[in-house]
Amino acid sequence: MIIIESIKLAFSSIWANKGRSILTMLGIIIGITSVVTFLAMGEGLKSEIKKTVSDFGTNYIYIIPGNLDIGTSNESSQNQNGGILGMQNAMGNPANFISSDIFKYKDIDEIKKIEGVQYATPMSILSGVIKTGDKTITPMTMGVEPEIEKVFNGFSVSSGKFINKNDLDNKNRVIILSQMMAEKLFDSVENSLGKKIKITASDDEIEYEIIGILSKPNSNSAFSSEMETMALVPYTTVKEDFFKGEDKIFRIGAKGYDNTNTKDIAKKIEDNLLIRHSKEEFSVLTPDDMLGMLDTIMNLLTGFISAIAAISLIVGGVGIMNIMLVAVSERTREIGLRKAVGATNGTILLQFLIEAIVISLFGGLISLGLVEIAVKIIEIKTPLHPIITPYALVLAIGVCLGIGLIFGLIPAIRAARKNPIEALRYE
Amino acid sequence: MSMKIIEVENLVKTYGRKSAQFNAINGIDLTINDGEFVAIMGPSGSGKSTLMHILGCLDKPTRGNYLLEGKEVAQDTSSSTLAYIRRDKIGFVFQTFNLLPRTTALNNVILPAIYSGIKNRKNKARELLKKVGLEKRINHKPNELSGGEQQRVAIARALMNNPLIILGDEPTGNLDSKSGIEIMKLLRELNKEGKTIVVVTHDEIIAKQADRIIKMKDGKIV
Repeated sequence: MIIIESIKLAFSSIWANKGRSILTMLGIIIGITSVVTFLAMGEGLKSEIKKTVSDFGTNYIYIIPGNLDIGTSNESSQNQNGGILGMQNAMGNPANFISSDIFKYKDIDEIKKIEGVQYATPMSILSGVIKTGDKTITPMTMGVEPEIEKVFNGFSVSSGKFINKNDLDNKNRVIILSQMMAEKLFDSVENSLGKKIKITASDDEIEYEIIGILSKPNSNSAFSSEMETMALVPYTTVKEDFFKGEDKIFRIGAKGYDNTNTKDIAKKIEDNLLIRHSKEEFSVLTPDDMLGMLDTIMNLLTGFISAIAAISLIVGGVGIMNIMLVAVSERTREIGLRKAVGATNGTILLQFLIEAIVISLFGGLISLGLVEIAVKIIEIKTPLHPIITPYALVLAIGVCLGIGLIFGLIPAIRAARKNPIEALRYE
Repeated sequence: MSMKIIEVENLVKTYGRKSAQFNAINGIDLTINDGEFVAIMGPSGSGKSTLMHILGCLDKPTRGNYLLEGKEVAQDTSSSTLAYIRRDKIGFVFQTFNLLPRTTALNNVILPAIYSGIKNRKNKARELLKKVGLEKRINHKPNELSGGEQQRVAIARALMNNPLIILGDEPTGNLDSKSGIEIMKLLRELNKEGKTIVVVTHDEIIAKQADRIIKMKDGKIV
């Protein structure tokens, strides 16, 4: 009963001092809004990256140059951009390829010999343009072997055929384009099959025939655009035509047999590569590693933002304490009167504590409204899709409750301890 | 045969620390019976307010006995017990009315019921406001009422929990003489209905409305 009355009373006194109350809530509002929005953005980003990572399969092993271990960045791992860029790099962002063809074909052969390894396949990357008539595209052209289709999802063709062993052995000048690239050159997928295009790279211009079109990536995540700008040619052909017969392997894709543990295989591959390479030269990644890395990065960022928000929340809490101390002193006579008509110290304490909590919670609710708006704006203005998790909501409400409780306690105790006679005489 | 409501024996109230102690009340014996209308008179500093606070359980005696309805109120009575006594037994009427600002007459009258938890409080508050002649002012806020009207609201509030005694601390002190007389008339009527009323005043005319006048000086009854 007293609690309900106190809540009513809290609202009417907030309403009576609207401007003051809003200003008091500001610290809380800024803190809660920024943390919850950031958590939602992080959650959205995470789920998109997760989708992308698992689009490629769940048990592949991806071997890349540079040491991607979080926290061990050093001079020798130039390829690491850290953070999310490092993640993108691991997924094969064409912008980040700087002479990192550290692997040799011997590495592929050695990995294949490891027990449990079913496939190991090279990936070389050619920076060049593809032309037909007056149209030009700049895809990420990769030299691959047929096994890549078995290692990663997303390399299957929707029409035509994939690169086969015959193409590899005969160094056939054939190419597979993504649907988007094909449509850019020939307007439609049907038109492009069997057509000839010219690949121009390092002063050479060589004609290739389009034999297949890649399936559309199945997620709409921000990162699937990389699959959309892909072109595949036989590894042996590109080695002969553009790399002067040299092995230029930028990435290795591998996969264990179905009954093997991906992590164990990855460990074995790492040990094997360490025989010929230094620790800083390469990273062996599994989808779990990448997601784990992602979690580490996100937790780091979340922690950082939370620390900043915590400052704002403390400032907000002190604001609440301040306004409550003012209220207690302004309402001294009211406190005296309430005591005279039968309020105990406990009920007075409760009344002012509830008022502080209501201010804080009200600020929290306003914040959640602002978060909704912020999320809408982010969705419209950026490719991100923020996700507000129940955890974030519970956290926000819990933090508000806690702040009201902690910072409302001292003013409430002060109110409860007032001597009724002196309080009634207070001017 | 009237029942004793208040029995005070050799009551002492001391303020200040050891070096600068003074006795605001210095040995008072007093009995007030059920249904009496008593005025306590005296110049300022005579200890009448202190006596009033102790009788109203806003303060505790330093020494001596105070029995309210036969139950002892002493130095070791807890503050929450005092609060419950005030809630259930005492109705205060103050010189400065002490109504909650921005709160209607009705809600001011309801206030004590929030702490006692009595039922049907809105109806009871309306009845009480009618009784003090404010049935047309129920939803007015204190700043929309005259001084006399505000004090009537305060009296209605004092009656809300159906107390044993009404304690008036200079209830007419802030009113013009006409409103003052009306308030005393109202208290007189309540007394006729059986309420015990104790009023502290320094105004002889007001005091004469009471059945009995107790005069105080220097912490003692004279």
